[in-house]
Amino acid sequence: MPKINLKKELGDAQVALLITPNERYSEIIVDVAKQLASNYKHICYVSLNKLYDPLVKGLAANKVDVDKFFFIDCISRGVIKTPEKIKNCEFLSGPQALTEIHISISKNLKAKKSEALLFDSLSTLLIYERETPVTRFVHGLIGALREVGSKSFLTVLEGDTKGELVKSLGMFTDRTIHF
Amino acid sequence: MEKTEAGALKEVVGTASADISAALSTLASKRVEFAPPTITVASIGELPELVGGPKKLVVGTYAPIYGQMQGNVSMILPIQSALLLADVLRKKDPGSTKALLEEDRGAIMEASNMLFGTYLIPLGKLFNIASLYGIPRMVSTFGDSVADFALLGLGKEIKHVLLLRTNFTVPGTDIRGDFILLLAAKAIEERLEGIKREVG
Repeated sequence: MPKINLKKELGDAQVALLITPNERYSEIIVDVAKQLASNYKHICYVSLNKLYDPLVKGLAANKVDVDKFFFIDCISRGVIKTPEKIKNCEFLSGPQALTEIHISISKNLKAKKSEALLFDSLSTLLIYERETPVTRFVHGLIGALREVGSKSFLTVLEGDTKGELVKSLGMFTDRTIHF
Repeated sequence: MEKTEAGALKEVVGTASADISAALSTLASKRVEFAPPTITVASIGELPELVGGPKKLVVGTYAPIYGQMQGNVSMILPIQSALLLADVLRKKDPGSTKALLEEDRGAIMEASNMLFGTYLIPLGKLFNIASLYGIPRMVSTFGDSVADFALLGLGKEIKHVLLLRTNFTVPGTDIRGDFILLLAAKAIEERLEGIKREVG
């Protein structure tokens, strides 16, 4: 399968929806992270699926330059009461904490002057909240991302593309990229 | 001695499965069936492949095990099963739950609490080791990251892990989930080696 060149696909646009098939999800996320590390000086990585430690180790093992990333981990505090303070990571209370996620993304994109954002994944939000509040959250987030000016890549699993959220996001994002 | 130990372990685990089936059936007012678990004594290196989940988003509950026994215990379900399980536990019409809101998560965590205790208490007695488990917490992850939770907090001195794996179903529904229990303890390393020789 030919590799997708994210920079070329996004072009001058700002916000892209990345549709990932289940069976290749893990390898695609690594590839996306690697491309972002090659193309941008600083990236904000919002993780709703993978714990910080194995995530960073996995990326490093795949030769992704993790020093270019700031991580917003929405999962570790679900299992570790007080995760150890880490310089390049902010731990949030959970994937259901939409307001907290929004605030953290806006704050960190500005503070770290991140050129790009990877949000992994919108599909996880739908586990914990109905479509309408999630859609509202994502619309608000995209507005904030446009204000900051970061190139943004929001992942969603292929199985979720029939839902209302993804249908409405097609109107609010600039590109939809199918892997 | 080793034969007796493996045999006793199978018996304890089989009894616990029947107990949890009964307990969850009462909680849900519906029949919940736990299959007899497969019992594996694995080395740490073997675990990621053994506990890996399906290639999809899964939800579950997780609790660390403290005390003389170290380890983790988790229950993993495909999302659809979790939604249906919430319907069953909260006595809603099947298909009512579209997202795991606070009350739904609470019901699943309560069921997990019951489930974890039903296995851990008799296992602790069998190995003559005290253990406590933490409050179950809800987690969601992509299938191949299930091992990350299963391995959390396991120290480098641990070489062997007891892995119990079973699945449960609610007959007449599409609810199907996996239950994974990992136990490790320096104090029972030798006993686990003996059981490994017996059951593989």
